[in-house]
Amino acid sequence: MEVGQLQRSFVEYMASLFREGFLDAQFSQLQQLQDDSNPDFVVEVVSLFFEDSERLLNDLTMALDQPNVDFKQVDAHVHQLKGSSSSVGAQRVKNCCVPFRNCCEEQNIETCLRCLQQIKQEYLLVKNKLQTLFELEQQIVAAGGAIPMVQ
Amino acid sequence: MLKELRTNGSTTTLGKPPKICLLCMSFMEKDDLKSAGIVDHVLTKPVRLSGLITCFQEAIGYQNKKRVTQPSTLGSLLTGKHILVVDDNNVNRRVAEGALKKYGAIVTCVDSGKAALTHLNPPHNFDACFMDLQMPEMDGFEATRQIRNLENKYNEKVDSGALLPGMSARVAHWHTPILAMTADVIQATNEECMKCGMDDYVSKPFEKGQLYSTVARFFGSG
Repeated sequence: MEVGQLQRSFVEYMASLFREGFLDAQFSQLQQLQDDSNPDFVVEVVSLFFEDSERLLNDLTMALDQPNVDFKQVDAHVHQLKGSSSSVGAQRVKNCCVPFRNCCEEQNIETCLRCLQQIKQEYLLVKNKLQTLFELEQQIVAAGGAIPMVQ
Repeated sequence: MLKELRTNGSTTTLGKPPKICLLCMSFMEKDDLKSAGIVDHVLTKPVRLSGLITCFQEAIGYQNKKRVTQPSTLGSLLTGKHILVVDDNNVNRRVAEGALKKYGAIVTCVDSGKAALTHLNPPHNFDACFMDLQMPEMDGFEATRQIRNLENKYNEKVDSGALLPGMSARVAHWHTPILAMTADVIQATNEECMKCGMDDYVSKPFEKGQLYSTVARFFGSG
């Protein structure tokens, strides 16, 4: 595919991620922080987010699988997830965290498990989307083009 | 006629009284008029370009001296400042660090209240600290309380003469600005922040305008 086409696909894809609420303004902030002195900032931060989230989701699964669930611990994990998703602009993941914390307060295992299910889904979706976005970037660079700045 | 203009308090659309620059023939008249406060500047005829430029420069320069010069960007406030970021979440740390570095700050990140204590034990080189509130083991409130404690003890020693401020201490009275980073900005949190000795709070992730107005309070004078 020629560079122009790749660049157009990239711009459209990025726009759709914002439009569909996968990403919010904070992600744009991250892109603005990337510069020559920090050329891989976005990929770096998002990779940290992936690692962090997967660890937390595993911890949440184990915590909710215990005979006596420690809801304070569950809440602490969700708090972490809310923080990191907020910092990278992963809006849908972040939005799942608030009802999750309410379920923790109510100490309701059923609803907590449902929240966990939902948040896992949203996480996998945004992970997939971001990986596709980064692949498009790599293709553009490989084809000798510059990555378009999207407002 | 000039006296009338002045006393009428006529102003330009900017609301400031216009500068009055008089053209006169002799040097003697010049000083009388200027010292009487009737005119701001006097240009002797024939008018030379250099004279005109000096006159305008003085007129504008006079304005600037009246206004307190404020740095207009986060970059000018934060460049070269040593900032400590305290957050147990590595994603948050990295993002906060990236944002502050973008504005030229020299950033150190730590992941616990305990580590913050080590770094902010006087004397040290930090100009300010951004502190997460909810951390395991030692939260931001407790860490700040203990840091203020350390600072008070150090200040007492200096005041009593037991410790000389000396060259290792940049200031005689220690109070490192500590700003809470919080995702939930509510009144209760703010009061608790103030109680334990924090100076202010910013939302997390950073919002540029709020970050600027908060940081300007501490670094505004440059």
